[in-house]
Amino acid sequence: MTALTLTLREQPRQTINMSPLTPNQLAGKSANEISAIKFWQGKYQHTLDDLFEITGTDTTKLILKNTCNQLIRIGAEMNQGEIVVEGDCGAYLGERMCSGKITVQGNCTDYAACELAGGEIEIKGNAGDLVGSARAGERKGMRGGKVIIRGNAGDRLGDLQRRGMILAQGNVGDYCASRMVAGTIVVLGNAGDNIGFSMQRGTVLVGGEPRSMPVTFSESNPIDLGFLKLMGKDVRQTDGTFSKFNSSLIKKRFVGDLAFDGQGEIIFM
Amino acid sequence: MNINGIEIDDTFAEAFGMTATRLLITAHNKKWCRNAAESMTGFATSVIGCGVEAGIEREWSKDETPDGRNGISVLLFGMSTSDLAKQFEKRVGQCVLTCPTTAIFSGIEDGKPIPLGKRLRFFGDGHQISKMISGKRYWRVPVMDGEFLCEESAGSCKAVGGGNFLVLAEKLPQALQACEHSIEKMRKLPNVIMPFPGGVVRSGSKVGSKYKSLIASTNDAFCPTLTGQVKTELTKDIGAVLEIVIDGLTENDVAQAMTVGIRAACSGGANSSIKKITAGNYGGKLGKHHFHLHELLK
Repeated sequence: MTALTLTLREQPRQTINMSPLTPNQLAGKSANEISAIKFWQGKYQHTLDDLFEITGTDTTKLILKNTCNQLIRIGAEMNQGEIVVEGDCGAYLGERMCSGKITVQGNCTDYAACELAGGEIEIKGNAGDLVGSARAGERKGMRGGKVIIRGNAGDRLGDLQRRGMILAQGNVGDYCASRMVAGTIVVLGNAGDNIGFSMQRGTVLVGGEPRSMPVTFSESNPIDLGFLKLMGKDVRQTDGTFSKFNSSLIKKRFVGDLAFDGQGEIIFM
Repeated sequence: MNINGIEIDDTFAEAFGMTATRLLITAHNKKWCRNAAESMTGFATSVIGCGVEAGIEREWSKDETPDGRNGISVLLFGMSTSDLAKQFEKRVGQCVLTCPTTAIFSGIEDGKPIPLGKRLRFFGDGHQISKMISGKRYWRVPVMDGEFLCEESAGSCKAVGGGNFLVLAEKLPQALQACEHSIEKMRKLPNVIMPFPGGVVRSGSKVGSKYKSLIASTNDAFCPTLTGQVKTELTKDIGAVLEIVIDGLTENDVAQAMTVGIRAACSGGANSSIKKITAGNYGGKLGKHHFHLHELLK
């Protein structure tokens, strides 16, 4: 069996909610049932067959081709299998996903991995704002799983993050780890302004140059942190630049946000 | 049956089911690993009086340990996981947490988890930090030399405790020498400990006592000083008896250790003043694991 492959026929003007297309929801469905799945595009309803050219039958692996950022909620609430997006994708990638793997070959827009509970999401291009955060109005961000961003990420990476790990190979925007409750963020590039704003707990490792910190962070004395050896080993299991991650040298360590419990830490490596 | 002219008694060692775990202690160097491990496994010769039987299993190289430092694994044996849990809190809290530079990890993945950092973390007084790394939860407890890193829980497994053999000799120095040689060989084996001082016990016991408050008392049938007074198992030429007790993770581990130990004890031959090897049992009624010496050594 070959993977179920969906090739977008033409770039849509409005967003398409792709959440019905997860391996767990497609399991056991016949080809006819799959091609008849209905989607709203603006005020018009279409079948999957109208929007995509469908080939392959293996629903445990879904390949999306000719994609664009109008395709939102890809892999939402997915709990098994694999999705490969051969192109860009829209907001809410892997929203509330529990298990499985999503790979995006291009870029994605905002709210990727929001409220992620498990599994792995790899974005080979850049990611927008609010990766691993909570949806608007919600109070709990990412609470498990792993997100790998090969490019840069936007503002508020890991906002309200509670657990899990985000790895960003490039630079990240302002307010990284804002309101973070726990978990780990590793940024190999530089972080923007106001890193760790309102952070309660959690760890942010930054490979780029140390910069001025919010006034509610304090620099702590230099110590040898044993957990970094384990963490380094874990990060190096991810291929690419991460495989050369050196966790043995700490340039500076800040703790805070002292206005909010102050048990978080930002370590410049 | 005899080995190198030394008689092997046609009897069996009787051992019991226990619960065990392995903990891996790492530190700045081997010296501090050993300081912590020896402290933690001190006063742990018998579950009867110490609550747990514990000993050092082996040294681990930097390549083998999770944090890339020198390590030592210790094995702990108790009658149940709840007994082990009580001992964990005390021994890790007082002997490993307190020892400079140490960290502690679970050395057994599966089985019923026994809380480790889950309770010790409270020493951090709210400043402790939890970290999930590669699917395992660790606790970082701030201490005066930096951080004490501790895995949240340790796995446990069914085990075998109380494998044993007795070395009967004409003279005490020769009995001691034979036992030391046995222990040296047995300590090279994985998954076993010999929990008594130096691995050897001189106060072998029988069940019960003339004193109602005691559940065990001296094994008078093997005491050379009581020959002539009580029913003895010793011939006239025996002047000293020493016992080696073995706890292992599996029946096979205990059997292998007994085999290696007995062969080492007999390696000096009949001229070494070792006269006989026998084993302790309770008639087969108390322990479900029976190690017949002739079967082990055939």
